[in-house]
Amino acid sequence: MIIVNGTAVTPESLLAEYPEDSVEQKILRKLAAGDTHFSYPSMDQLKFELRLRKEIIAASYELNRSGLGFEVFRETRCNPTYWKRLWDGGFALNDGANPAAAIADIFHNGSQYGTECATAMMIVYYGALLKVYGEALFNKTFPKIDLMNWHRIDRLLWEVGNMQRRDVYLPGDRRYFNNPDVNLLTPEWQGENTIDLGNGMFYGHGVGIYKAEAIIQELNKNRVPNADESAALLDSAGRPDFIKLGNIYLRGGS
Amino acid sequence: MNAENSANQLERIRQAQGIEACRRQFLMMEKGKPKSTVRILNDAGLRFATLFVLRPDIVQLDLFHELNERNRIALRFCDKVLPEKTLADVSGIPLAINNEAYYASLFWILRTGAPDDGLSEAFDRVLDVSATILIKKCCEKMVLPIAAELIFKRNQKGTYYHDLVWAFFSSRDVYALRLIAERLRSNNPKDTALACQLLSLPRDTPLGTRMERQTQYSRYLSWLKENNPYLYFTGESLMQTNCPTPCGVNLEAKYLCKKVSPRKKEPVSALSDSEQSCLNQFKDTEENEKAVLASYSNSLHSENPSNWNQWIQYPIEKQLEIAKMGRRDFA
Repeated sequence: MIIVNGTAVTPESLLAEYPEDSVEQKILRKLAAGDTHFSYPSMDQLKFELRLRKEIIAASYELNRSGLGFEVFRETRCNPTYWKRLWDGGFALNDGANPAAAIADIFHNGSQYGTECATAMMIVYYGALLKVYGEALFNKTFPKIDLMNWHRIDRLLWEVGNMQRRDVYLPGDRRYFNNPDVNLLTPEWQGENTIDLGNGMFYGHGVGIYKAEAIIQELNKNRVPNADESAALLDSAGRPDFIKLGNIYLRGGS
Repeated sequence: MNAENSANQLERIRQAQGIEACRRQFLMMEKGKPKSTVRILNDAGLRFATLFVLRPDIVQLDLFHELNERNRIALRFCDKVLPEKTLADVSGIPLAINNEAYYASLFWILRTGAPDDGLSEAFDRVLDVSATILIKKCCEKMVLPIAAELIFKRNQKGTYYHDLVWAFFSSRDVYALRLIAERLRSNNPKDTALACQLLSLPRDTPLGTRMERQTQYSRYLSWLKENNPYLYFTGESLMQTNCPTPCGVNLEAKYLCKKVSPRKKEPVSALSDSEQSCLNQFKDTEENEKAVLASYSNSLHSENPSNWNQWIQYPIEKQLEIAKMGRRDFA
């Protein structure tokens, strides 16, 4: 159920604002169905979430096409024009580098970068925010960027790293496939961070874009001999604080 | 003198003058006294780091087959773990895993390699994988303090430790929690912050003063003591979430005072009909009431089993009333 400014709203009028069968329509239908309350202080906030979720999905497809390599944290690589590789395998924005240009570079020159699936998720979220905010607001909001996993994360994106059980899973959510019986020689297959693309498909860096069953199958190929536990999609999701990010957008960074 | 404490010449040079000096010395010694050079390599006092840096030279000089079993296994293991295959052209039996010699060699790698952590990314990866195998496959308890030391050392240096944390908690051993809890008493704020995160304590846990740190440590140990039989490990990792909860308490089991399997969360023995009936009532209570009932039940059971037997048979409302008042005598 969608609640805007304290009042329940039906999705019909909003649905008409978006193309038939679009991501926004799918999200609206999911938000409206069931008893779970999705509350927004204003209609603009709801529209912001729809837009950002759509861009998260678009950024996932774009990053998948970018040529971004898969490397374990010990062997990550990045374009030194924009990024400095840190000792733990993360990337830190170079002093004086333009944050928007640095994020865009990963999408345009993906082959110059190699990293693990968690970092790729952060790149997707930054890429989506760059599209929605535009360069000026993005640079103002994120003057320093650290890309690693959920442990050196901008406070504005902290919730992306915090997996919670949800009543409803939505396109653009971060989901995790766990592989408890992973081959011990390849711990990088202990799980796969993914973005729910909303059409039954998930984007996982290093795996690609596939249905849940195919990702599970891939993880299962990398288990110890005689493993007895299958990989599985966990019943939890990370999602950004859309209201907080929406407030920045709606205030125009002022 | 213990052979392991004997001053190994190559060891001394590597530690004092660095890797290149060690390699030069090795090549020079091998030219002059090949037999005693191999003896030094096979010496109990050699650390894994020295063997690791000499890998290319050992292969180049065709010395692999003269090495002892410990060293041969260690080098085969490096080949298995790392992308570059130094021993690809070396004939011989492939690495036999899951036997005593294999685990002994892995333990040697970790124990003597840990002080040289940070030598290179490849070296650290070998340490991580050997720790993982020892923890997960052989449930080797002695590995846990070494792994804990590495985790906190790497956290201080800013190097990668997340795979090691994952391996560490996959031991599903309460001892692992105790080792992390020790760090709550550290003077180093980086240690205490990481310990808090790994034990899933609130981020604002007061740890500023020595007394606060000691208090939190004691409090955690008390919690551990109370909940130990009902703890299960979740398998959550730092790759998955920024707030991993390594373990949880099975409140239903605590209420029934039934020990659980740390791996499967379920009680280790099947529930009787009367236990199942008690549990059905328990399941209908609110979450905060469950915690009160479970805590009271566990405490009463350990203090006075006969009173517990009486209490557990009361209707749940009466159980709760007694638990909230903390009464011990209600006959």
